[in-house]
Amino acid sequence: MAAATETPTLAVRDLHVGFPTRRGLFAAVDGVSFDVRPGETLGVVGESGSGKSLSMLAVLGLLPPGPAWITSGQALLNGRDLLRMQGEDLRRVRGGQVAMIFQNPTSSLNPVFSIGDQVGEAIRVHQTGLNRAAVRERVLRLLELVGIPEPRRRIEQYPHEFSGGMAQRVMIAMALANSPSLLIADEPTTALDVTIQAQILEVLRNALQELRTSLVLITHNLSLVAELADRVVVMYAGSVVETATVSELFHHPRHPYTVGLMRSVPSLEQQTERLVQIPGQQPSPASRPSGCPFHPRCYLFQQRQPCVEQTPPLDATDQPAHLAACHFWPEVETTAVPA
Amino acid sequence: MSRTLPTAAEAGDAAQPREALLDVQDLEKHYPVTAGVLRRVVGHVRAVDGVSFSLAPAETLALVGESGCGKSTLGRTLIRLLDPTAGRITFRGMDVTHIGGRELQRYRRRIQMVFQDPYSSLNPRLSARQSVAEPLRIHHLYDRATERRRTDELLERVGIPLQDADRLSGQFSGGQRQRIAIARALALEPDVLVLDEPVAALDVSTQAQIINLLRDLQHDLGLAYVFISHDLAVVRQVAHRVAVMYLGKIVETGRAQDVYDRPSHPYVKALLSAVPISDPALRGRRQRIILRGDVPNPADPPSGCRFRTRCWKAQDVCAEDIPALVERGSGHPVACYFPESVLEDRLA
Repeated sequence: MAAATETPTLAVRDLHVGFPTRRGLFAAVDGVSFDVRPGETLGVVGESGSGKSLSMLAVLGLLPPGPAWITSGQALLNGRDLLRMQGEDLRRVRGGQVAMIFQNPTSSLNPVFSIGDQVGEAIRVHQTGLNRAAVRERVLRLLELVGIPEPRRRIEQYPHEFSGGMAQRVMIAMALANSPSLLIADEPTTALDVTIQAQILEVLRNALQELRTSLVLITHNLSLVAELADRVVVMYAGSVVETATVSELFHHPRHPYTVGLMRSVPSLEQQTERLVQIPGQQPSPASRPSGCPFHPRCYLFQQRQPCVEQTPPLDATDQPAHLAACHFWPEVETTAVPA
Repeated sequence: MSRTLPTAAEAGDAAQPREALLDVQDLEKHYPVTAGVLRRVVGHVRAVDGVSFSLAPAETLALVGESGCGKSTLGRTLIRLLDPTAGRITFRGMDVTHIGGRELQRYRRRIQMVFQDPYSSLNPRLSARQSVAEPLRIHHLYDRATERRRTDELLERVGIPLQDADRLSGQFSGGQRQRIAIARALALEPDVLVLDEPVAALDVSTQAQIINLLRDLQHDLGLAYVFISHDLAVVRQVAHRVAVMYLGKIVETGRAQDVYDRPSHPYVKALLSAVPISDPALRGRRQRIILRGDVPNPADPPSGCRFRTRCWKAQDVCAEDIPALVERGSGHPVACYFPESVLEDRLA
């Protein structure tokens, strides 16, 4: 793993994403900070509405048009702030130094162009000096890298001739076309069957290793994090509530939400007497509770004042690289989780 | 204790099933494939192709498989939303395969369905209370006062606070809507619920709430479930027995524990090994079988065993004959000429 002193590939600092309403500002992402180090895979985990996808879209300047999104903070990609970039500059960076893959591969491809044209375009846009033959060679190499059989035949085919798994391989090939230093993958296997998911994880693992690309893996699925991530950021209601190395997080969680999330995942190995459930629902940005946003659902709350009055900062725990936003984190390891 | 699933003995052993509530024999559902302006029929998709099983009272049978295996078509055929092409469905000894009219309406009081997406299965303009009361009205069961009492009872039973009962169902979260959908399915006091991916659209913490609720309801009301899911971990938590499907056929079936602990069909073995690990310490330590390629086109399935094109054990015989779903030394039925044996695992 990369040393902590190395310059991060991506440094997100105090990111806020919100939109104004008549009842005030909706803060969908509320002060998020994290680093992605060179060559590492960072898992960003949270349930729907946690702000995990929105924060990465904001970093890339890809927020959906519509409400007047307000973004503040910094997102330094290799030292340059993406949030201050515009137009042509931003377009050069996207698909160049940083690339993204999404959940639904078949809707991300254009049905009227061949696969070869689309992957080729991703290369030509950023590497204008290459001639046709060189682009074709590069496309074939990329398709091989992501394990598409018979690339010479497949290059001529159209998206409808590709299954979901094969289309996701094409998306990965396009994303890696210009050897980005950072790949952002938002639920890359959620739409796929489990046997196809296993293929895609294999492809990602091998490609990242070969190209030494950093990955931000956005997912609701803790198992994918267990498979791929070096470090993990857990998000809840627009904030980071815990961050640690993957083995620290799984074996010594320091935030009651992380504990609840892990315990509510059904096990494949055995039938559990009763799954741990987190009572209630994640609050929307409009109805976020005071103090710690998790306190109404938390088994450690026990009507204690600090939980209601002060928002706990994301602070070091007993391990310096393990941060948690909980006033009572030392109790996590000593308190049994109620079923 | 209401917390645990009944033991295998209580739930009925695979070898000695209790009197079946629902019995399915050689069920088939084929869809025509048409082409050209004249919509000429050029072939058939054999979505469900010769499936047999039975379901005992208070039992959960899970139909497991990946997309396109026919599990949802099978579920819809069971409640007769789709008409079977061939085969027989028997409910409490009565043949319901081709019934219609009043008889069908009576059958549907005994068997109800809950769908994956509570956003589209509930009318967003009805309140929670109206959604649950609707089936009672359609069947003219109670006077107004009794109907109200019964509706409130159902909402409370599934954990919807009564002060929220007049909110529109569109205003509830996904998990709450699935609770309302379950209350609605329970309104007519059915014996069987067909649950089609009931937790697939929900977040994990909400998913756990619904799984726990379904277990409690089964325990308290003695319901039988046909639980359709692609999620092998969820199935492990709810199923007494499982039937794994591939391209319209059951390839392996048995008590959940037996199938999970000793899978003997190569597809089932691969499927279980493909599930992501739950602990990073297991990284690289689980033997993983990565299947090559995709599921073949169901309109043009391979001859013989349908899995043979992706199977590492396939031989000539697999292309010639369809292997029957019978017990082959592993203690539960498997449709494979070369099932994985326990002995083989020990040698490996």
